[in-house]
Amino acid sequence: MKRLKPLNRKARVMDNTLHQKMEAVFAMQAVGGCTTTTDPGWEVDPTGGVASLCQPMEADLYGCADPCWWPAQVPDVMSSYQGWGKGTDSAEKGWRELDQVYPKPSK
Amino acid sequence: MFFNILSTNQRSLRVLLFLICSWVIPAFAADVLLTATRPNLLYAIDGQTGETLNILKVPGQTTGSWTLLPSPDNRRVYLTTDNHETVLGLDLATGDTVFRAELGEGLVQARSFYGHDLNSDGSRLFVQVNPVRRLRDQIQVLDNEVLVFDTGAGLNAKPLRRFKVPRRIQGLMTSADDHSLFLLGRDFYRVDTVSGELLETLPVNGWQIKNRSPADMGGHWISFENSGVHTQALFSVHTDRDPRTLEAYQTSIAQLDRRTGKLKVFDFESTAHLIFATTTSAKRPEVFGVYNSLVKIDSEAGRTLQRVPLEATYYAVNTSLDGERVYIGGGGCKVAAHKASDLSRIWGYELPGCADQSFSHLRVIRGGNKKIVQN
Amino acid sequence: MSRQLLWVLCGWMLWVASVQGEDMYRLGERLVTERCAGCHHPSGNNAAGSQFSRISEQRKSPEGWFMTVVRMQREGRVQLTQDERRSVVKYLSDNYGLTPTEALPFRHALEKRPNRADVAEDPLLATMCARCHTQARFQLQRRSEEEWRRLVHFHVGQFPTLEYAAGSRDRDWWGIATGPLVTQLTQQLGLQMDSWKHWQQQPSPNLSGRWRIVGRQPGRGVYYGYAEISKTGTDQYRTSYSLTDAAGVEHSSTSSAVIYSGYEWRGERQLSDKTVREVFAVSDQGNRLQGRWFFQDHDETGGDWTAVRVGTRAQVLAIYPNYLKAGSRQEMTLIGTGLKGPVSLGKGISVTVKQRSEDKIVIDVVADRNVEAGRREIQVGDIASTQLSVYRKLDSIQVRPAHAIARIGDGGGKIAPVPVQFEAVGFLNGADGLAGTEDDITVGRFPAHWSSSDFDDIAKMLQDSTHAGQINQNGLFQPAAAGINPDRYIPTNNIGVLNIQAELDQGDNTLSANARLVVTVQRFIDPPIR
Repeated sequence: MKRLKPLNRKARVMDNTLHQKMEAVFAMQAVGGCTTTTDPGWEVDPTGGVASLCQPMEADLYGCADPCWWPAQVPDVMSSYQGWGKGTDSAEKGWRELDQVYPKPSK
Repeated sequence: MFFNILSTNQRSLRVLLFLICSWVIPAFAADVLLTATRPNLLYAIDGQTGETLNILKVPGQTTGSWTLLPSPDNRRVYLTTDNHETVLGLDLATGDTVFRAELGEGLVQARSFYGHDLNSDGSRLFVQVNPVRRLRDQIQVLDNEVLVFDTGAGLNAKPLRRFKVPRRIQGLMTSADDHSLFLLGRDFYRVDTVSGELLETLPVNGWQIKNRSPADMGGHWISFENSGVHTQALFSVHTDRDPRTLEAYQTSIAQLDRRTGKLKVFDFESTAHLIFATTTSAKRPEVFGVYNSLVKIDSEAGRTLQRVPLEATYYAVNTSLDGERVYIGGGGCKVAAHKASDLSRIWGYELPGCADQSFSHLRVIRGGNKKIVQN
Repeated sequence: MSRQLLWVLCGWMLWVASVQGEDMYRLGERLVTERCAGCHHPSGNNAAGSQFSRISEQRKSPEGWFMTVVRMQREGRVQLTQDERRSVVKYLSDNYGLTPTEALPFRHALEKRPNRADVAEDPLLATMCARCHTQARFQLQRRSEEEWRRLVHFHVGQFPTLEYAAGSRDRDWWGIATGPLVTQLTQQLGLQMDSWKHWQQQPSPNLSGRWRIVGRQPGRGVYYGYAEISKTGTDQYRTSYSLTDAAGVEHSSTSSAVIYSGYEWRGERQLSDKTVREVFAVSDQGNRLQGRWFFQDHDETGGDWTAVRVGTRAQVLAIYPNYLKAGSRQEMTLIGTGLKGPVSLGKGISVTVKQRSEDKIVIDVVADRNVEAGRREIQVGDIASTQLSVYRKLDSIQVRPAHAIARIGDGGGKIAPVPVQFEAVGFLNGADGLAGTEDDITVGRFPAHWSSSDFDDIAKMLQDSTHAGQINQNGLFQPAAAGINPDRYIPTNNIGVLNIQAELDQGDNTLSANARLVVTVQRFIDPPIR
């Protein structure tokens, strides 16, 4: 794990930063359209940042889509968008194929 | 059906793969990891080396299996397909479907994605379902149930019996004496395996701890097959502490022992790090948790022993039969083994095509057994 | 004229005739009866005592109905062309819509205004509904009690893990959802058919005529001009615009629009090769149109829009610029309708009219060195408007939005990035002499020096400000490309948390203010109401 050193440092800094303050956590989640379902969150993590989100999102995308975890942000494959991602079995490699699902209204 | 992802004209390759697989399996009983990937593949992976031993294709319409339930004799695995509306039992050696049960009927659509377990001889399969009635202009949510199947019922299995259970059950665990079934939900409920009668409620979310919020619980990944202990991370708030400080946020562990039926809950660290899945060592009083880091927890002293950051998010965690290794998987396409002693990485493996494991559980069964790899 | 061209023309005329032959509403009515009523059969138990099961027991915005119909199409329950869907939405919005008063508090969502703080004050609705949705998603609906309950059932049927997610699993979610939640939703957002019926009886105004327009696009500035609106069918209009922007550049275009629910203007026009949507509300007995336009594919980019009918009530709509520094001289432009009589900006400001008509007055203004600072009235003849701020020196600035979300995008993927336009707003302290309190006086938007930095130690270590995107000197933050960035400290995409800083040099002092920007991942679902 050649990346271990930076990762260890990240964990340590996260600890320190969180120990310093837990403020403004909800201010970010309150920006219209962001989910406050913080396990760990889609846009924003429980601390109001992004460092505790799944990393990277691309490798975790189906882990959200398949169990319909953020069905207002990510297409739920269980019911509404069963064909979403079909043929792209690796979100990490194939995320470029994955599109938004809503048609635009006309007039 | 073994190697059934290969076309029939690839017979020579099959023979070659068979020889390779036979060769890589050590003579002694070794760990075999089971994990599933999109779209419909089930992997058996050698715990020693991280190499693929076998790939089975899961029949039906599925974007990946979640709850992988190995039978006590390690010959079968039970999982869901058809968008979680069908439970299958696959023969691990041949890939053949040896058990099949459609969970819904008529207008009732019943899905099962979390709660599966077997009794100790593998003859009874317990399946928790979330049924809904789909009418022309509306959906009606019905009570959750546990369906009990005879695993010898073949390909058109109907439940032997069924009983109503609380909603939001995220796992099932039979007691070691087979008399009880633990429903792992908001609280843990012990019910009679025959009547479904509630025998005991073990409070988790409903714990009564002074100056403490109700517990939230993370992780729907089951891994008690070797330790006999269901493990769950809990998150709560110290209501008497300043909510702007990290010390107000508590991570705890709940352990439910299938042999004794005892629930143990202990605090161990402030919630600076999220934890998805947790598992109890089969050999030592240690709990391992995973998400963006891998953590080892002393379950007797209630403290964090070590934490190593991970290069990516892993959802699922399990330990080797001998307690010497910790396996992580789920989420993306990587599976890895770490030493239980110092959490250093032994091997890391990217599944073919980097196909996502998504919500798949990571189960560990006894291998070195020709039945798993023989055609 | 060649024969071919004649055929093309005939074809076009036939097509126009067929669309015009059955108006949108009638087509919608026929389609709902033919294609929806099969499942949504007439039900005697409906609270409204009317035609269709479920449909007749709820009311919502045109966007709300659009989303419902799209879902029905997606699930294969109904097949509709785009024109047919529009007609169905029209019929449903006209019969089961919201009144202007009901829609008013949440128009910002229909108008897709970016980075709005959205805090549900009610803890029950915050945890049960606003956990995934904006408040607008449910507040822009009215349902009978049974219908709210069916919506809960739908949610669990459609999203079966809903009960297992954070915010659900730590409580008796189903008990709360089907009990107190339904009760509260019914109390606050019940079907209330009477208010709707009353609104429906209001006569529908004809919007044809000449209109005066003012507006502002954040980051680009103001514009003003005229619109000629002409009726092309029942509740359908075509509009020709001629606008002048802050740089004096003239723009003209045409749009076509449909009125839903008697007042919801939904228009569409082309700007260069891009589609622009207009979400306006008709008010003041058909004499005012107000809302926002935005790019179809970049709805964070758009502008405010106010239009009033020329020749109606005299009014000042805007003054450009809208602030004046003590001891300075500048040219100002007043936009309005029926502007007659002398122009006064109050004590200490002398005004010379350079050019005037009934809807535009250009004035040369000199403010005394000792002029009183604060908001003041503009007087034109008999009419007054409080739109002008006078200042000597700003006491503070604030960055708007103070909390913002940008999203990475492109990078070879299909989803566009979502930038954020920041603005620096200047303030005077109020009577309390303190900055950042409620009595602060807004002066206006000022150019500033913009910079971004790492928000905290984690961001600094991960070098978020290097990777997540750039802010330009116009306050526009452009997020970085989507996808894994191998150059990052640990291999991840370009998300990050930044501190956005605006600095304004006032000569002898420099004011500064910050905003918190989270640059985050793409949205894979982006419905008309989030």
